[in-house]
Amino acid sequence: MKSGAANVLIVDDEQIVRVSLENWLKADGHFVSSAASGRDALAVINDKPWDILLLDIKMPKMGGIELLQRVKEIKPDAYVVMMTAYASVESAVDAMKKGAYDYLMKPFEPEELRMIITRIMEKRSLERENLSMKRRIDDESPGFEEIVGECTAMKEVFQLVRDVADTESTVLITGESGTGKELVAKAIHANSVRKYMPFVPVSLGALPETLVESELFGHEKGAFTGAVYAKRGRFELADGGTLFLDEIGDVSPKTQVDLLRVLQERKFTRIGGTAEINSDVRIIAATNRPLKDLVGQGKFRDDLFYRLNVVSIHIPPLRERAGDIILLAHRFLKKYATKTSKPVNAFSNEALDILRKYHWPGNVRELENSIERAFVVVKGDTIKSNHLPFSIQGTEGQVNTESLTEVEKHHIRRVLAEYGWNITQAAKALEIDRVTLYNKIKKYDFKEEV
Amino acid sequence: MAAGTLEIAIQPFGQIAHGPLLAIAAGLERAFGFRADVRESKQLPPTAWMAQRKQYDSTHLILFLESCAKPGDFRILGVCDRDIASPIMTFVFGEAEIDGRFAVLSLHRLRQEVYGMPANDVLFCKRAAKVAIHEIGHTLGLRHCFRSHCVMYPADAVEITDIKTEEFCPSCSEKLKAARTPD
Ligand SMILES: Nc1ncnc2c1ncn2[C@@H]1O[C@H](COP(=O)(O)OP(=O)(O)OP(=O)(O)O)[C@@H](O)[C@H]1O
Ligand SMILES: [Zn+2]
Ligand SMILES: [Zn+2]
Repeated sequence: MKSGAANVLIVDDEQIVRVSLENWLKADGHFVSSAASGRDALAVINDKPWDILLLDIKMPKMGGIELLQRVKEIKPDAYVVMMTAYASVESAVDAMKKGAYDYLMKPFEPEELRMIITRIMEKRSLERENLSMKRRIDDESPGFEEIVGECTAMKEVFQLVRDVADTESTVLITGESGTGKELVAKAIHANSVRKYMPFVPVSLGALPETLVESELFGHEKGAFTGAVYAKRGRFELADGGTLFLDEIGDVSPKTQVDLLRVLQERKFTRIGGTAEINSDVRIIAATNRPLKDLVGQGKFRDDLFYRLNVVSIHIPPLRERAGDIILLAHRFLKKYATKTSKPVNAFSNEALDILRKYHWPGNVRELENSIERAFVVVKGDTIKSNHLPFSIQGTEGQVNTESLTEVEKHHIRRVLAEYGWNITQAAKALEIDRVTLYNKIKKYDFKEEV
Repeated sequence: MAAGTLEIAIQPFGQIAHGPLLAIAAGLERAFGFRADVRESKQLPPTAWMAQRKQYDSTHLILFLESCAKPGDFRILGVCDRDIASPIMTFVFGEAEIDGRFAVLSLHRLRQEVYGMPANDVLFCKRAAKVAIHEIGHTLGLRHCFRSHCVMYPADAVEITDIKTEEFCPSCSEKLKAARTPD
């Protein structure tokens, strides 16, 4: 291909025409699908960001012109090229008026079709450029406002995100659990030309090995027991957009090979299928494990590592971003004040101190959870040290000046929240029986917060 | 199956001189290291004839080749001496299934005489070999390549066929190697 591979949809009722066009277009490096009728075409119109639709004008039932109109209703920006026999030049002209981009008179010179495709692909890439220019002008940094970070390390992360967003580079994000890897991946997507296309996350560590393959690549009906329907995999769902492969360090050797192959060839087949599916995805991978070490130990393929690690972004743990802890705490304070409609607007100094000193092994996620939990027990407008979970209060915690009843009350509330108001489990944790717990709930007038 | 034993069947259609067929077989053996086997000629299927255009339908021929296949044939190349065209294009030198088993080529437009020039058998055979290697390259998954000396350059005119060599450029060679590594 001279100007980038195009996703082409051929619609023609004659099989021989479909096959011959397919052969020719594929030879030129394009990705081709075909439909035998207008109905079949409309069924797949939303499956892919088609670059070019090649429609035969003369088809039984829904003719090419009618199909053109329907397509234009669904996708006003679609590039439609009509194919017509010599006898129907007039309808070709009619088609141009109705929004076709061009027409080809059968039989045509191969070079004619090649030129039309080149022109359309140039326009498409121009449109994409304009879109990204426009984006630069009308919003500074979408996707960033959500991410808190004033320390140098995070500013470096933001700069990297900006630099890499508009490239097609594969990105590897590393950092401990809960440091915000997914958030950064989303920011990259939101700042890229793909922002209007899907961002599809898949957490590879959470999936059993047997499901990983079908989750990623999809399967055909009947591919294995239980495959009652054909299913599209994440690679297909992310077509045109960004695929976020979380916990990449946890994948099996088999899946590593599968992934390597798609990264190299940009195409794959569904389980139990034979058709090759092309997917235009940008890959962002993340891991909280030391991938480089895993490579050294032979647990992670080095070729896959190098494919993924084209650009790497490391997010430092929260304990190394001292200044950000308090900023984040206030961000979450606002968030949960709004969410719970509680008039809470401050932390006590002791509470802030605890937050500063704690080592946050669960990073930002743990900080957010702590504050969410504090909202369950807080009264008044200030979060105090005793509202924070015991686990983070540390050994040198302050003397608690509350009365015994107060302490009991808070403790029960916390435990209830911890167990999602599962009375049996909460009673067990408190080492009291369920009736006693019910009575205390009644006495303190607790209600489950939703 | 080891690569050395893979076989390409060359299926002639209609009357064809022996020279170009041997040139094609030798070219394929040079380029891919496959054995090439020239089969008995068959009649061109009348159903492939496009009466209005006075050409044979190349896509039809490709589909027809299926019935000529013998078990064990790795790839099958149909060769005819009549003008061929795909049903939608004015003419083609050849057509192939990408990543498939079948390809066809026509010798007709490779002759100097067609362009009003004196016959040149050496040139004619060279062209035939290049087109054959190009089409079989497609069946092995190769797409067009725009490095002008690469055999995968899309030639829509003999002048271009003459400029390109019968070699694969380094990038196409790499892809070819990958395609032929058995999995
Ligand atoms: N800098 C930040 N600003 C605001 N919120 C953040 C920040 N970093 C993380 N968060 C929030 O913390 C939570 C965890 O973040 P995220 O899921 O992105 O982490 P992760 O590194 O992908 O975690 P894991 O490795 O466990 O998948 C999310 O709710 C996210 O919104
Ligand atoms: Zn070709
Ligand atoms: Zn090449």
